[in-house]
Amino acid sequence: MKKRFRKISGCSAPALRGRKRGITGGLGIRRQQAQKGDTPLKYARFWDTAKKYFREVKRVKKSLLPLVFPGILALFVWLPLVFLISGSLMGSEELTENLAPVLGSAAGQVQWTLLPRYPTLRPYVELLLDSPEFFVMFWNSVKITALTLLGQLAVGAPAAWGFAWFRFPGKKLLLTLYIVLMLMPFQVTMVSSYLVLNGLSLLDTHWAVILPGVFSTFPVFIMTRFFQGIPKGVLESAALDGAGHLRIFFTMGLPLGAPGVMSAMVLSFLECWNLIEQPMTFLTTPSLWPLSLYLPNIGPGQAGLALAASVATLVPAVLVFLWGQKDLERGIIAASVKE
Amino acid sequence: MMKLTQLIFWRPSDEPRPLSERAPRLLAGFLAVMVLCTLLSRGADSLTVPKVTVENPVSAAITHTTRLDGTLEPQRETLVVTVSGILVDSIQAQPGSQVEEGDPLFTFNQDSLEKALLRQRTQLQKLRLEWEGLKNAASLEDKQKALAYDRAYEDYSDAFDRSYDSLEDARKTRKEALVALREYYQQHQAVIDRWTGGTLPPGTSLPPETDEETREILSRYYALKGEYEAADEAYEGAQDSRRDAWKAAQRALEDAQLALDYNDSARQGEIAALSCVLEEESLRELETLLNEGGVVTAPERGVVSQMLVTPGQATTEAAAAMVAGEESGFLFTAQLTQEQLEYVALGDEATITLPGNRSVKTQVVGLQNVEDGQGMMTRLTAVVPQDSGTLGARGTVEITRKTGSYNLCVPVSALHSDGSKKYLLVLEEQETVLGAQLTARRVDVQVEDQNETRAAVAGALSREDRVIVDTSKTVREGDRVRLMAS
Repeated sequence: MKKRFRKISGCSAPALRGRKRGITGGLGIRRQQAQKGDTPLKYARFWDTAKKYFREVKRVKKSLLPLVFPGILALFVWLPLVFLISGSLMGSEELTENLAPVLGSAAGQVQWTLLPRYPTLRPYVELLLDSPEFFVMFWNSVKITALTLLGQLAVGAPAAWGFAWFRFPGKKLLLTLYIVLMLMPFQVTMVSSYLVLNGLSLLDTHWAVILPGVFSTFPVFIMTRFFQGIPKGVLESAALDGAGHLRIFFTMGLPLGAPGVMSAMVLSFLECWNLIEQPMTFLTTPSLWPLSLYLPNIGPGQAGLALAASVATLVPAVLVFLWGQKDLERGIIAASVKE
Repeated sequence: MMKLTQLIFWRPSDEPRPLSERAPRLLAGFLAVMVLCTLLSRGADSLTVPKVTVENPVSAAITHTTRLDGTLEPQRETLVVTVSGILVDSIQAQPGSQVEEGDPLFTFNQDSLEKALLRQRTQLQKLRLEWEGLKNAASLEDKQKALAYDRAYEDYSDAFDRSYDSLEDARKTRKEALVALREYYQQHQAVIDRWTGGTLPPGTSLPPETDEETREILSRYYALKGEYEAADEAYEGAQDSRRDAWKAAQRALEDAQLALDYNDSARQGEIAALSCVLEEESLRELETLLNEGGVVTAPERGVVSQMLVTPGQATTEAAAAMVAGEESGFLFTAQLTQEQLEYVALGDEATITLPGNRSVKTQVVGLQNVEDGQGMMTRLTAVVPQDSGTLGARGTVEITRKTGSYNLCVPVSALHSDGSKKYLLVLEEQETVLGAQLTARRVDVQVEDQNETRAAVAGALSREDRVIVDTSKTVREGDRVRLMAS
């Protein structure tokens, strides 16, 4: 009841509760008076209620007005996602009809509706129960992503700790090299990576994608920023208490730099989960392909399946993002601050 | 212990937890669902992917076995023919009944038989009398014709003599006229040559100054010349008359000669004699029938296939009954379609299975086209020994024909049809997302020959190819399949 009322009026719950009490209490007195035969009181009660209602509407309008423009912009951002979800709930006939210009079977432009005319879960059933290929690729993605993240945790975190707290010759140069490598797109290092992986006989194995990811410089860069943020006094106190480097790293560094590690992991997860170029370049056996290559392998008559697969692919990314949302915001901020 | 109690009696907090805190659990739940769905999709896939059985094409001959149902029919049927026009009293053997030689088939009416015998005797007597009369007439006719010939010959001789005399007279007259003309000419040659000389045509008027003597000489000359020409003409006529008379006499003689060679009465007599022989034979037959009490018997052992007489009705010239003899064996007959005829030929070895699992090896002895109600069929016949079965028994004939060796033979179940095109589905290993998977690849082939089980094919196929011969579900080109566990 509360929720329903809140939806209708747009007011806050306490305000509504108070208003409700006022109206019902007033009505009780007025009802008693009316039963006695005092009819002009009816009109007075009506005018009181109407005034209160319009006053409340005006207040709500004032508070919502600044949100209108960002809301419109947000609508444009959210529209593809809405289309994706609504499309995944459409039947194949409806999808074919809507996407006819794209599929080449009709002229004009693509038609789309916010809500499906005949909602169905058939694409999801087909995807989840009748597409073993999807799961092969899904678990390939899980494997690649999990091993890459574990590798980054095992290799990147100590490296970042070293960059943050150790002094050694060429440290700045090495960090600059890390940044340069971080900024290089995949196309630049593709050929050299290919030659190296071929020399190591790792081509057409998952390691061809995992190992370059494990030694990625971007997580090191982010974690370095966070480790540098740990107060120096805390670490020095630990050292005075007799803690060694490893103990300081595991008991002080990692817990205090956990937001940074988490932030790096979330960003790496999103990157690994959406890898396309590396698998296409280094993996030729279809059974090794990750989920990001599933959509290109779906035929034009399987639009529903493609949309359902997109939603299913999106779910882990969204959940991981939500999981590390707070840390990720800090990580992005840390990455954006230039040394 | 405390923790365990808390865990057991754990209740969700009333306070809503933020989504970021629930995200790990949701992610774990999502992964758990994906594990479950992975198992389910694998299970569904294993249920939906058709299981197939494969075979490699082999080099083999195609054996065409033609099986036909048929019946035993008599190899020969004997007609029972008896005298016509006699009433049938009773029938002892119905159609389809087995009879031995001498068994009664039917019995004539005794009175009718006796009357027929009497009629036959009378008829025979009458014929004999006619024959005697014709013999006498023939003798008389011979004499008359001999006399006519003699007369014709005499006429011929007389005509020859008479014509000769006439011709001789004419010849003499002509000679005398010629002699007279020549003598007169020699006597008055100068006068005749001066006036005629070949230039003055006969009958030309003489000039008025011609003297009387000259006129007389020329007149006499022309008269003699006319006489000669008339005699010559008479001679020519006598020659023609002689020729005509001689020819007429000769023809008359030839006609008489021809008449002498042909005696119609004698021929009629011979016919009557032959009729007497036939009637005597019929009479003997009737007498035999009468002596046997009017019973007609079976001529041999067999089955009465048809009884064509009816009690109370007279017999006709047609056969009275038909007996299918068993002593010469049976004919197995069956009908072939035009497609089956392709693999059956005269002389092919045939195995006939008859009731009681009796198997007879024989040969196809006849293939005859017959018009059936449903179209043109071919009737197959094979001789079966006498002791193989009984008349009318049903059996099955099996004729086997083996072709030459074909290079690629596959089971018929492997053949698929797409309109008029035939194709095979061949296993092909493809690298897919699910790993190395077996898929069905279409190979168009031409069927060179086939029987009920195997087909000889030609096309882009080798003996190493694994041809799908049996499937648990319908398989189309490109479908994933898996091998059925042996």
